[in-house]
This record gives sequence, C-alpha cells and structure tokens, in this order.
Amino acid sequence: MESNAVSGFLPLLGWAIFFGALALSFALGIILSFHWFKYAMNPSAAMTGTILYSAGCVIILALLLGAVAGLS
Amino acid sequence: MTVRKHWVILARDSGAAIVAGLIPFLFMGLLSNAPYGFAADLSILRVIALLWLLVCWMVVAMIWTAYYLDVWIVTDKHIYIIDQIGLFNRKVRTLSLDHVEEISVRTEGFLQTYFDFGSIEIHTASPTEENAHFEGMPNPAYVRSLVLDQIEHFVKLEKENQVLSTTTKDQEKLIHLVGHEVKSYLTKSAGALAAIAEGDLGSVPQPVQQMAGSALQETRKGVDTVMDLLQGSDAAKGTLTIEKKPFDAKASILAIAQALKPNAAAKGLGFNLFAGDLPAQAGGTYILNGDEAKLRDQVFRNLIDNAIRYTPSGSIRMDIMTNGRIIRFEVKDSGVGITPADMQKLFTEGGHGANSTAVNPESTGFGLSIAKQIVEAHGGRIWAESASAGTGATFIVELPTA
Repeated sequence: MESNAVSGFLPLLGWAIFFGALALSFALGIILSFHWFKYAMNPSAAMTGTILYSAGCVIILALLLGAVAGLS
Repeated sequence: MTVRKHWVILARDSGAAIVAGLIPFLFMGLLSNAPYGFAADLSILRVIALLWLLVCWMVVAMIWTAYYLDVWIVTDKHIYIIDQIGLFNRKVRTLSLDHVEEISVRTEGFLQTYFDFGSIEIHTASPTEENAHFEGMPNPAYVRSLVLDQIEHFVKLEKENQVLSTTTKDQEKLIHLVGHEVKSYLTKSAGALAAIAEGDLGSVPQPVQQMAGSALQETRKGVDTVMDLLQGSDAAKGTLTIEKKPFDAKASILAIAQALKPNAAAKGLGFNLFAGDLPAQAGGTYILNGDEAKLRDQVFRNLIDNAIRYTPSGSIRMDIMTNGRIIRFEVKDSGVGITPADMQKLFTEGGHGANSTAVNPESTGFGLSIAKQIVEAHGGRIWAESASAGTGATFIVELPTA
C-alpha cells in the first residue's frame, strides 16, 4: 500500500518538475531575448544567442521529458 | 571604440556553470557502477540532475547577457559606460574626457598576465560624475593609452577651436572695417559719377557722359556687393539688428516688382505678380510687423532679382497670399534650376551652385544666407524647391503677420 503511494507520487512530481522547467525556460528565454534584441549593437549576435539558448533548452527539456516518462 | 570584458572571463564563468551542471551526472555514473544495487532508484535522480543542468544552462545564458551588454564606448569626447545589472537593472552613464583626473590599471595573477586582461579605474574631477571601474578589460594598458590620447586630442582640439574662433572674429572685424571703408569710397565715387552723368556739373561731351553713366552703374553694383558682405558679416557676428514696425508687405513687394520689371523685360521674360485682394470679412491681412527695409531689400528683392538673373528665357511668376496668420510669398521661375547637391548649401554663406557663377559672375554667395537669417529673425522660414537642374525653381518665404 505504502509502496503504491510512493510510486504514484514520483511520476506526478516528475511531471510537475517538467512543466515547471518548461515554463521557467520559456519565461527566461522571452526576457533574455528581449534584452538581446533591444540592446545588442549587432542583431546577428542577438539572433545567434536566441537560437543557441533555444536549442540548449529544447535538448535538455527533451531529455527531461524522457526521464519523467521513465518514472511512470 | 567598443570595449567588452575579455573572452577568458566569459569562458571561465560559462565553463564553471556547465561543469557544475554536469557534476550530478558524474555522481550518477559512479552510483550506477556501485556494488550496492542503487540502479533501481536512479530514475528520479536523473530527473533532478537534468533539472539542475537546465538551471545551469540558464545561468550560462545570463552570463552571456552580462558579458555582451556590459560595454564601454570610448569616443573622442566621452566614455559611455553601460552596465547590465541582473535582468531588470541597466545603468547607462557618461564620463567626459575633459574631467578625467587619473587612470589606473591593474593586472594580477597568472591568468590575467598570460591573457593580457585586468581592471581599469578612471577617477573624475567632476562632482556630478561617478568614477568608472571595469573588471576583466582586455589589454587595459592599451585602453588607458587610448583614453589618454583622446584626452590630449580633445584638449588640443579645444585650444585650436579657441584660436579659430578668435581668428574668425578678427577676420569678421577686418571685413567689417574694410567693407565700410570701401563702401565710403564707392559712395563718394558714385556721387561724383552721378554728378557728371546727370549733368550737375554742366554739359559734358556725350562719350564722357556715357562713360560716367556706365561707371556709375558698376560702382552701384560694387556698393551692393559691399552691402551684402557687411550684412553677412553682421549676421555672422550676431549683430544683425531688426527694427520692427508694421508695414504692408503687398505694397512693398509690388514696388520692388515694378522697379525690377525693366530688367526682366530687357531679357524678354514673362513677369507677373499675383496678389489677391483680401475681403475685409476674411480677416486676413498683408500687414507684417517687421524690418521693412531688410525684408524688402535683402529678401523680396533678392529673390526676384535672383529669379531674373538665373532665368535665361521663359517667365517669372510671383504670388503673395495669406494662410491664417501666415503671409506666403512665392517666386517661381523657369530658369536653370537647382541640383540636389546645390540645394544642400543654397542658404549657407558663400553657397554658390556648381554652375551659378557661369550664369551670374557677380554673385557674392551671401544673398540667400542673409535672406534666411533675416526671415528667421522674423520668426518665418524660407526654402527652395526644384526638381533638378534645368527645370526652374520656386523660392518660398512664409512670415507671421503682425
């Protein structure tokens, strides 16, 4: 009984972590790219920064999704 | 010159964040190989380790933001210091080079010495400006010498500007003095020639009378030229005086047009002035509160005279109209026109067009510059419109009514 409760809680925690991380990376991405595009003197540096940040987040979030799915 | 932190700073901070992000995976690798059977519990640890990696990746992005947006821009007069502090705090300030008191540079440790970066501190003597400090500046000794060079250049430039300003003032005074002297001689000569040409000294032979008449005409042109130079000199010195009194602009323009009509007729030009009669109930008026002599001789006369001079054939049309509290005077000709390049310098001192001296060799190049200053002193504006060379031009003056 106790083991079932723990095994039900972990996937829920995993999904909460995943969606929290997704929201955080998206919000920070918006804030940072706003700064880059508004203040950078070279627009291509702002674009490169945005692409690199997005690519890194997509890869890590994809790995996180896989790990969370593995908890179920 | 734009200065950012040395790339080693970015590499060091980003590298540290990435290593910190990967450390949990190292532990997980060790745990999975441990002989105590931890492998079954690693799945939740993997989730936490990936979350930690994501946080570290975000830190890297913030390190890059601080690196890219913290900038010093060194110009020949100022240093613009831009500090990006966190996400929502940005500080931009200016440090004037003429207030800089001391610049100190510090390079410490192996890394800074090997990669040639360090910190720079600029102390300012200004009570309103803060000192400037920059950590991790690449090649700080070079930046220091560059700033010192700029200060030296700035001080030198200031001195040269002062000398130039004094020289210009002296030259203006000299032009004024010489102009007055020459005008005085020319006026006396004009008087003597007029006396001969107009028979005040009794009858003279016909050839002498003709020669005196011709010389009188040239002398009067000389007086006009000297007057132009004197007016230009007054405007440059800022001693242009305007004596404002109400007068009828339409009557003034009409009188000039009548006086200049023979010149247009001599070239076979069409010459028309259109001035609408204002009905009393319309509330409009041609009464201007201004310096009639200056507006008449230096503005209206100048524009009409120029139109005649720069129109080899065709016609000249003048319009005077009111628009509310504005009196608008237009002179439209079918003459040589104005190129876009000439348009840029048209209302500047000595602003001859590239080919204007070929059409009008007597032009001093001061006329339109003086006209502009007089119009602006009356709160009005003057400008020219022309499609291109050879298509004619329109000069427009707008002046506020009394």
